[in-house]
Amino acid sequence: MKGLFIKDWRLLMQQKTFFLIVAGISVFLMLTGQDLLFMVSYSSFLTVSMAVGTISYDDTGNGLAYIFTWPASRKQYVLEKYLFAGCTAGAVWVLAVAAGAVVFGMGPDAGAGLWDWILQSLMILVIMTVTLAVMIPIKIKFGAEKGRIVTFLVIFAMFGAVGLVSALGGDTLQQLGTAVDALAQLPPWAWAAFTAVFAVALLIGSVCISIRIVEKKEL
Amino acid sequence: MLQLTEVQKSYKSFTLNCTLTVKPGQITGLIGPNGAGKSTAFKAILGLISIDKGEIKVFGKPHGEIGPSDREAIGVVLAEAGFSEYLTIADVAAIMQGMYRRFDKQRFLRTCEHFELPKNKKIKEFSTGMKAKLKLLTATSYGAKLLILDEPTVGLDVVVRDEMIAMLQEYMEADEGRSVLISSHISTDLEKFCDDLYMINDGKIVLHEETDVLLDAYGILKVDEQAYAGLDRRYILGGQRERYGYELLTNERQFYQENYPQLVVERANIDNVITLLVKGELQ
Repeated sequence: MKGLFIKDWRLLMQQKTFFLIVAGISVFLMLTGQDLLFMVSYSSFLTVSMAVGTISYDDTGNGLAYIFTWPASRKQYVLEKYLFAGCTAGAVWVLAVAAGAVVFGMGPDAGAGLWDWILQSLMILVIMTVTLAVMIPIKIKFGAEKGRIVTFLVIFAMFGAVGLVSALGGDTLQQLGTAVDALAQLPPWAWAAFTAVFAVALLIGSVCISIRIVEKKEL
Repeated sequence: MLQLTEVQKSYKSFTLNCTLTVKPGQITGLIGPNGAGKSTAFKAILGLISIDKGEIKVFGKPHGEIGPSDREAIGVVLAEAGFSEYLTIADVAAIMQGMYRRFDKQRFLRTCEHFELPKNKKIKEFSTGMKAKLKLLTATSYGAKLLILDEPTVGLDVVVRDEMIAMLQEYMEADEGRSVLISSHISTDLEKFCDDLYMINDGKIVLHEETDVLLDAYGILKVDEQAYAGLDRRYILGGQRERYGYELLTNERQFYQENYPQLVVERANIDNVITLLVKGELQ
C-alpha cells in the first residue's frame, strides 16, 4: 500500500501551486481578521477535493487497469484512497484550526469565543468526513468525466451547507438545535457526538460500497 | 507457469474461448488480427475482467488465490494503460520502490538513462516510443518470473525494437525459470523471440505451434487450377484464391516439395500463416 500512497502524494503535488495559492488566501484571511471558520472550511474542503481527485488521475487513460496489476488488492486500493484523503485533508484541517487558535489567542476576545469556534471547526470536520464518504464512491463509480460533474454538484451542495453553518453565526449549534426539537434538547457536546457517530457510520458504509464497486469493476 | 483451461468470456458480439499454456523458461507469443481477443485474454489472465467459465492458474494457483507476493513476480505491459502521464520517471521510481520489494531503483534509473528517457520530464511529453520503452523497463525492473506483455513494441522504430527484444532476451537468460507471454502485431519480433506461438481469431485459438516448426515445416504452395485439382490436400491448413489459381498453407512443406517437385513451394512466415489461416477463404 506504501506505493499507492507515494503515487497519490506525487499526483497531489502536481497541484502544489494551487496549494500555495490556497495557503496564501488563508493567511490573508487570517491577517485581515476575516471569518476564520471560512478559512478552515475553504482549505480543508479543497484538500478533500484534490485528494479524491487522484482517482480521476488513476482513471485517465485506463490507468486503473495497470494499477490493478500491482501487488495490492482492489480492497487495499479503496482503503488507501480513504486513508490518503483523510490524512491529507485532516492535516490541513489541523493546521488551519491551529493557525486560527493562534489568531484567537492574540485577538482582543482571547479565550471568549474560542470554545464555540473549536466546536464549529469540529462541525467542519464532520461535514468534511461526510463529503469524503460521498465523493469517493461517486468518483470510483462514475470515473473521471461523469464523476467530475457529479462531484461538482456534491461539492456545491456541501459548500452551501458550510456557508449556512457560517452564516448562522457564533451560536450555530444552538440555532441548528432549535430547528430540530429532539436535538435541541441535547447539550452541544452530545449533539457533536451524535453527528460524529453519524459521519463515521456514513464513512464505514461508504468504504463498503466503494469496495463493492471496485471489486465488480471490469477493466 | 500460466495455464488457461477453456476460459470463456462473453460480450454482446464476441466470445473468448481460450486454452493456453506458458511453460517455465518459455517465451510464448499470442498473435492474431485486431479484435481477435488478445487483449481480452490478457485482461482475463490479469484478473481485470471476470470470466464466465474455465480456469486460470498462475504459478499453479487458481486465480482467486493469487496474492500480493505472487503479483510481485508478474511484470506487466498493457497496450493501452500505464502510469499517469502527469508523473515523471523519478516519480515512477519512487512508486515502484514503495510497491515492489525487489525493485532495483539504481538499475532502473541507469537503464532509463541508457535508453535516453529523461528522469524529470512528464510522461505526457514523451513520444509513443519513449512511453513503450518506459513500460517495458518498468515491467522488467523487479525480477518478475512471468512477464505478460501486450503489444510492448508498438510505436517503436526498428532499431529500438531490436534493442528492446535484445533486452528481453537478456532478461530471460539471467534466470532460466522466467517466462513470457507476449502479443505483438509485428510478426518478425515474435519470430525472433518466441519459443511457441498461439494464433487467435474471433476469440478462439486456431493454431498452436513451436516457432521453429512453424518456420521450418510450414510452407506456402502456389498452384494453378489444374494442379489444385490433383493435389493431395491432407496437409493443407488454409488458403486463398489468387489470379493464377490458389495460394495454400501447409504444415508439411517437405511432403509437397518431395511429391510435387513441379510446384512452387516457399517457406512460410507468421504473416503468411495469419493471412491464409485467418483471412483465407479455403479452410
